[in-house]
This record gives sequence, C-alpha cells and structure tokens, in this order.
Amino acid sequence: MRGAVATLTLLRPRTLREALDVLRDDPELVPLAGATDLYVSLNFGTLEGTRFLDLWPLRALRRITEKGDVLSLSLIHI
Amino acid sequence: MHLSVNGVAWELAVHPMKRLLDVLREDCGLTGTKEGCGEGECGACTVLVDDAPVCACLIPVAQVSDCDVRTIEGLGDEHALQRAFMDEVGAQCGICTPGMIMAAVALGPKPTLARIKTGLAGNLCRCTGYEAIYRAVRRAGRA
Repeated sequence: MRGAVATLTLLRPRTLREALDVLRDDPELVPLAGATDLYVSLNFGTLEGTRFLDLWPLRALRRITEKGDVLSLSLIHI
Repeated sequence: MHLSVNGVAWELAVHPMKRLLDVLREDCGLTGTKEGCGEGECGACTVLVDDAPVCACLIPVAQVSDCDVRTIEGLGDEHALQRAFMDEVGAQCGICTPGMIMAAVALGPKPTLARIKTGLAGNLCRCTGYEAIYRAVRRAGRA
C-alpha cells in the first residue's frame, strides 16, 4: 500500500477500564474501531495520528439499546 | 500474530496494523484476494471474517487474530460458485471475481435475485455488466 504502517503504534487494551486508563494517561492516542478512515487517510498521506488505541476487542462497547424513544448505538455495533 | 486462514493456523511476525489484505497476499502467499481501490469502495478484496464479508484493505490484521478468515482459495476449485462463474462466463478480466464470489458465499443458499443484487452492491465490476454474475450466483444456488 502507498502508506507505511511501520511508523504506527497500536495498543490493544483487554478491558474497557484498561482502555480508559490508557487514554487518560496518553491523550495523544487516537481511539480506533473500524479502520476505514485510517487506511483511506494513510493512502492519501493525510493521516495525522501515529498512535492508536484499538477498541475493537472490547465487548462492553458492542451494544444497541432502546430506551423509550431513544435508540443508543454503541461505538462498535455489528 | 496468530491467524487462522481457510482452517490453517498461521503464526506471523507482522506489524499489527498491516492490512489483512497485505498479510494474506505477502505473508500467507494467498494472492487470490485482489486490491482494487484500497479504500473499501470496490469490494475486490472481499474475504469472510467469521462468515461476514469484509474489505480486507481496511482491516488491521490485529483485529482478526481470533477470527476465522476465509479467502477464495479456501473454497476449492469445485465449489458450486466457482463452477457457475465459469459456466455463465461471470468473469472477464477476473479482478473482481474473487471478491464477488466471497460476497456471494455470504449470501447463503438459494438467494433471490433481489438479495443477490443487494448483497453484491458493494462489489464493482467494470467488465461484465453484472447480469452474467447474477446468473452465476443463481445457478450456484440451484446446484
């Protein structure tokens, strides 16, 4: 691919708590779920961040809930 | 990095953000999956991850480390869709074909024409005009 991934870092927290702690301690991290925008930006040379926090494995973020008239979509819904 | 591809376990020393597409082609030697646009628009790189069709050009390999990845090579030459695409001339240049077939696999058995058109809407073909592709998928469904 046109962009190099060697300069990128991906942190993979095992729990939501761990993710929040890491993000608190390193606000430069960019949360990442699906990577569509990331790879498109990498190809165009417009990617700004180099350190990413992978939220994809976090089951706590995968839910769709309905409460009254409000439908809540989690960050990652499949 | 542990990866299961077509039922085979791979242990690879690759960057976690290397695209699944590149890992399949360069590290696993499975070049059946093609890169069309690299932006998730054309569907040429469609593979199945836990039976769901995805664009391999948009997935960091780290995100599929616990998943079952299936590529066109995993179908084998005698799969009904492979035979149907040949019989109906559903491929001309062939670049879109692996992704098209993998997306068709995800449609399940005996899809209707409407379901085929919707299910393959993310797979672009510049050669066939799609009718032969639709015939092939329907033919495979009847096999």
